[in-house]
Amino acid sequence: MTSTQPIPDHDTLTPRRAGEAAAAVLDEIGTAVVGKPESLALVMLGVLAGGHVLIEDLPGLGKTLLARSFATALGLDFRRIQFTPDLLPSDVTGAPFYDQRSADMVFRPGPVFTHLLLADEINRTPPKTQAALLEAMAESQVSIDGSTRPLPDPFVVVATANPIEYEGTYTLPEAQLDRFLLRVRMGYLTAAQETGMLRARIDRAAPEAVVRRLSGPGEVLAMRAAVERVEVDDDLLEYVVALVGATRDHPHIQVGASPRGGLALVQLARARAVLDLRDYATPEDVKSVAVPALAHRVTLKPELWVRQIDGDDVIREIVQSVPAPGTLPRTPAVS
Amino acid sequence: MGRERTGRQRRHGTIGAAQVAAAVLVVGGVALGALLLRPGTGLSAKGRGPLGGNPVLVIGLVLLAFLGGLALREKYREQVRAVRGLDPVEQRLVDVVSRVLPAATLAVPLLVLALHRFGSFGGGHEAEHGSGDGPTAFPSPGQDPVPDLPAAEHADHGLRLGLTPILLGLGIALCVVVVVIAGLYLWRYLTRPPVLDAPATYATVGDEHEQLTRAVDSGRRALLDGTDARATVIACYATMEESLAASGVARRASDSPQDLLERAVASGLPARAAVVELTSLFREARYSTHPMDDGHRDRAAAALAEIADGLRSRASGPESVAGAS
Repeated sequence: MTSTQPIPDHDTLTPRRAGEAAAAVLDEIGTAVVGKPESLALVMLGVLAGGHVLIEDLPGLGKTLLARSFATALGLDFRRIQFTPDLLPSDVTGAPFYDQRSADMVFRPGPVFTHLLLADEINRTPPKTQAALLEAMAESQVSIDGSTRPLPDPFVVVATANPIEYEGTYTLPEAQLDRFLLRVRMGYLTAAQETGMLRARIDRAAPEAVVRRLSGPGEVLAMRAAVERVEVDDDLLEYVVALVGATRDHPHIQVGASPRGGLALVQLARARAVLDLRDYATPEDVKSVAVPALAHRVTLKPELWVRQIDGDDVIREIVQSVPAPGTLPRTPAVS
Repeated sequence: MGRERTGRQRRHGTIGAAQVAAAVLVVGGVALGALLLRPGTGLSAKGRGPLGGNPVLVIGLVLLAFLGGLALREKYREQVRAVRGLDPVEQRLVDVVSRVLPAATLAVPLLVLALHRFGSFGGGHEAEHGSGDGPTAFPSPGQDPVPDLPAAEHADHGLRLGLTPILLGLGIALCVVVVVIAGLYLWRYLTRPPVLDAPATYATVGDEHEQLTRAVDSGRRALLDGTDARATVIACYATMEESLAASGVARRASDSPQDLLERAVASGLPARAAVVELTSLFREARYSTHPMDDGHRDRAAAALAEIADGLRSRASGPESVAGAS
């Protein structure tokens, strides 16, 4: 069952209204994806901030359901690619075919020409095919046979990766991981939540909950435009720079976060402010998105792998040690 | 200051323990080297100790010493790079060690190889008694020839000869165990993650305390003046921070307003709603350019008054109870 809402002009959506619309979408998705409000909120932040999301976790935790639910609730065109070792770049981007009737080469668009693309198990395909997708993610366009074709707007990639299996997988290089705005981990449900999920499955007598369509591509663009209206104090920008800088000086980190990491942190903090119905970002916004925005962008020293310390732990430690903006502004505030 | 001192003491304590381990490692290593080499005469004479009979063992230990030295040097450089604020004596020590370590890493294995006498297996006793290539011990002219020992003394000598290798073996094993334990301790010290100092409180960061005091004063003046609503709201929040710090919930340097709020609530703060209200007003005043008016100022002042009352009554609660009893 779907019901379409009128799509407002995206120049007129305030951060508060955008936040309310996003909250309604999250509530709707919450009926299908049970017990993961924080993961859902993070994916929504990625959509609002105009980036791509990497969901990294074990199989069976609802990654695919989450992506499909977002596509439905946001009213976005949805495609899915199951990445396999024999997938070719042209299977992702599309390729020209010879049309016998017109005796001409005709471009047949690949699954990447969609609003929301689920790249399932992206680490199962060789780097060449990964690179084809990641190029499309970075440029929002595809160049084939000398001609450039823009991708639909909005274009969001939700990629999933299984972090446990190493046999027959191709780990994403750091430079390609950097293209993802944030990395989300789902994690297991608590016993009570899992029981609730089973009960809900029995009650609805269907494999999956039906998610209503609450939005559309235009409204998603409007929400993104609202994020751009969120103001960020200079002290907060310095705090972001300090956090990113700390990743470059930390003794456990071999390669720190790039400047793109700082941009991601700011945009995600602004999106978090929108979700909290504010038009200004605060240190809480930055701290709450620091781990998902930065942890996948740092390369730890090899010995830490043995000691089971991962990027999340190190970024958490950095957030706990870098001084937040002081109570008093550097420059005197005026009403 | 206090935090710095504590961190410094902790660091010195850890470095002291590591120095003991390093000293044991060095002394033990030298002793082991002596057991391998033990030249009969002179520093440059080639020799072979009780463990030096097996060339594979010698070469293995040489390789181990070289690789261990490389690893130790790398770890040491890493640790030293992370340490800031060394005094001149410590800095000089660091400089010396930084030069000696690479040289020792190369020199010790080379010396062991150069000075070791690779020869026939199991010729230790012959070598010691002058039958090998080593120096021969001739009796000096002034020295009396050794008299023949009686039979009882022969038996005693044989017993002592039987015990010597056992005691020697035990000593060597003990030495190896001590060296290994010291090495492990040192390795763990060098490879463990740096101990995080206790998070700095707001008052310990530079001159923030002084700034805060000024802010509180200016906040009180601003409340009286009522001119700048934004400055007043920020000053009210600064006053609340001071009050919370006085009641044991000091703001850490990395704390956001929400972190402080959560810790204050967790510590059983009275007037929770007022703290939430003031924190919310502060966020808006501090991080937005929204116009602030008298309404904001009055709400902040009312919240601050409620918090101050709550903290005062909590502080005087036990005393009044004690007085009543």
